[in-house]
Amino acid sequence: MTKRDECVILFSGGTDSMLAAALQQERFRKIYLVTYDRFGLYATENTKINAKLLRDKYGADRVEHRIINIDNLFRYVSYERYWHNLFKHRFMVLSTCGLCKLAMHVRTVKFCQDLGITHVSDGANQGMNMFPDQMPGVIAELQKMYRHFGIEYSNPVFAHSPPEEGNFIKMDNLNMLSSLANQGQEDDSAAARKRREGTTGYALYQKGLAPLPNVKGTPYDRQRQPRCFQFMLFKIFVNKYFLEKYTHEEYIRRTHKFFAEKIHKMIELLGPDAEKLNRIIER
Amino acid sequence: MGHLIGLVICTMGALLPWRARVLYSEFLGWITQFIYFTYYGILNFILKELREADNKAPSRIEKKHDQAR
Repeated sequence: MTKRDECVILFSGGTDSMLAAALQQERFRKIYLVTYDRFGLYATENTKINAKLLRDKYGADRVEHRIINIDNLFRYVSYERYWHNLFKHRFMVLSTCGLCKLAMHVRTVKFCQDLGITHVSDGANQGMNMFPDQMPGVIAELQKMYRHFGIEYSNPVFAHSPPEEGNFIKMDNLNMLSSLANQGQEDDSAAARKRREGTTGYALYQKGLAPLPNVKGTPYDRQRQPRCFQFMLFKIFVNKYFLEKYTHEEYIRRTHKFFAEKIHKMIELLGPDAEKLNRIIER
Repeated sequence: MGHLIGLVICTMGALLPWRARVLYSEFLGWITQFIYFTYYGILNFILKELREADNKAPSRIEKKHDQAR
């Protein structure tokens, strides 16, 4: 039995997935906030804070939060045909963030199949297009994977403006620096305001789900999300290794090629004989 | 040079099994975080001192005015 009035949200507790959940609860009768946990992700329980906020605001019967472990699946997604991929795609195999997210998507397909849900959303945003899972080309491949199993995958906050990250420079010092930098310049506050008002953080603030228009990168935001440092190896691969030698377009092209192949393999894994997938999940 | 550093770090990462790679990335993350916090800690300290010095010291115009009196 399919449940067309329910939606799964890949939920990290951050501003993007939080807004995705807030927007999708307007369209669907019930939303499942699914948070994934694995070795290397710490404080996954932090996501419960924002999940509770959503439950309190929209009703406990309409918002359900689940935390699912994907240790073995992440390992499988990262290391299947490893030497073949290493020789063919080189250090693309170190795209840890993209591979982790792909494992989450594969598990989400299984989750939807188990519960008969036909719609999935996440907080993918155009401002994060360095990460494979948030590149339009890879998103299109993921949509194909979901569609293969009769599921619609959408990114309701993709068009929002990228938020300004929290700064390590203290506010007083930052004010002094910006006042020095802006001396003698025309005030472009209208454009800046328009950009600020287009961010996910601002939309959350307007919905009463955040105390400030921009909480991105603040302690408030960090206390509501899991912590993960594995993006560091991925960033070193991209910025220190790849982009030192090749162009950004080449990075996009090769990432797309690598993930298209990976996603194709995942479709096979999720296929009619799901015994292998069950073994991986239950191991 | 950056490419070479990236090559060494990535080669080590690519040869590690998954749990060891996670710990290796974590280690790289802590080093980077340490560098960031040290850099911004020193920068914030210098900027704070400059701000306080600017607030405390009378401006040049005020000094000239005082001298003229």
